[in-house]
Amino acid sequence: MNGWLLAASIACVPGCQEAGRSPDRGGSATSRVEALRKEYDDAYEAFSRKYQAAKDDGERQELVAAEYPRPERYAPRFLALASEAGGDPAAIDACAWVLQRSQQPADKEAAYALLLASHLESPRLGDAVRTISRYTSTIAAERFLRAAIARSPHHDVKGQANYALAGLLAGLADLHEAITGTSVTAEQRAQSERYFGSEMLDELAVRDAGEMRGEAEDLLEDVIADYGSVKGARGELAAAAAGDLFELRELQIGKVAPEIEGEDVDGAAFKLSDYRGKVVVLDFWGFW
Amino acid sequence: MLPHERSLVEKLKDSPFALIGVNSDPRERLREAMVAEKITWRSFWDGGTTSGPIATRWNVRGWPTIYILDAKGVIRAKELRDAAMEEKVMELLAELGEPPRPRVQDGG
Repeated sequence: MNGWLLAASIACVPGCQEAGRSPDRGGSATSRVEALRKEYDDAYEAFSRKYQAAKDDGERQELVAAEYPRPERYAPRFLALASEAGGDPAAIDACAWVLQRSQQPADKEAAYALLLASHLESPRLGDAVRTISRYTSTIAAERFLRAAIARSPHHDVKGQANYALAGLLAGLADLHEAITGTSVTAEQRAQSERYFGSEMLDELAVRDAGEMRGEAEDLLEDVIADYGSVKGARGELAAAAAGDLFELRELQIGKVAPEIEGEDVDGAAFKLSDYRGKVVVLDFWGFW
Repeated sequence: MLPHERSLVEKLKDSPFALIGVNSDPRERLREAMVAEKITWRSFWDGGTTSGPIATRWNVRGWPTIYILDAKGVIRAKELRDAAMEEKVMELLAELGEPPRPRVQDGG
């Protein structure tokens, strides 16, 4: 299952109720965003405690239906705070919260619209940029990143946006293949529609996956050349970009798998190519 | 995942098929798990961490990550699980002229 499908499959929790509304007023924009974040965290914590104490699956399902604090219930309040905050960087925190947690395309588009309107030149824009990955690829996110690259005067924000755009394009290319492939089931399509909206899928369907991957490669090369020492979510961008570039170039369907030389649990050496002549399932796994 | 893999390995034990793991558990944990979970297939031991050299080179960010290779070592599919994985494996075995076999039961 692809990451985006996985995300889609956990996106819909039944039985949502309107969140108890407390007045999001008073104090600075930062403290209001912080208070709302704490309200959500406390609700999640309370839910989590009950969930762990639940006796069986039935009880757990009831709990999820009745008490799981769906981020989508909080998103409108974060967006309202972001809108009221105007140019205050607290709005970026509020938008980043929505981008990271809400599964509703409309919430995300609203967050991008606010960022585009008032925060493209903020040194803190990276906090929103870093919420975007190949598993949250949307065309709204793409528009936002392209604007950030064009308009941000900050080297680190530009680097993070270039890196995020490369991942996003690779994700869109995968998604393009997933929705236009011949073996897509109606259920998979419906799942993708719930997560991305049919409008975006239609817009994506007419694009070219190869072109998107090509641009992703170019962007990663730029990141390595110009933004290598910028910090990303997984350390310096140079290392992350080199890994992604290797994956885009060598780990694609149709490529000969790179050699693996290693040892088994008892220290006996073997190679992936020892299995030429056989169909191989290569499974990266662990219990931890 | 594991029960299906176990059944698949058993079903295809006389076919040109191999399930190869890249495992990121500590060595002792892996040894215990192989016994407890009746894991008969071989794994590269990746240093006991999810940031081991093989997973890093293959840019793995989520577990499990699955690649399916044909007999020439060409990547033919990614991220297929359970029944979809089995279907792809059978398709690739058919390319080698292997006879079709009944599908294994999930959880068997």
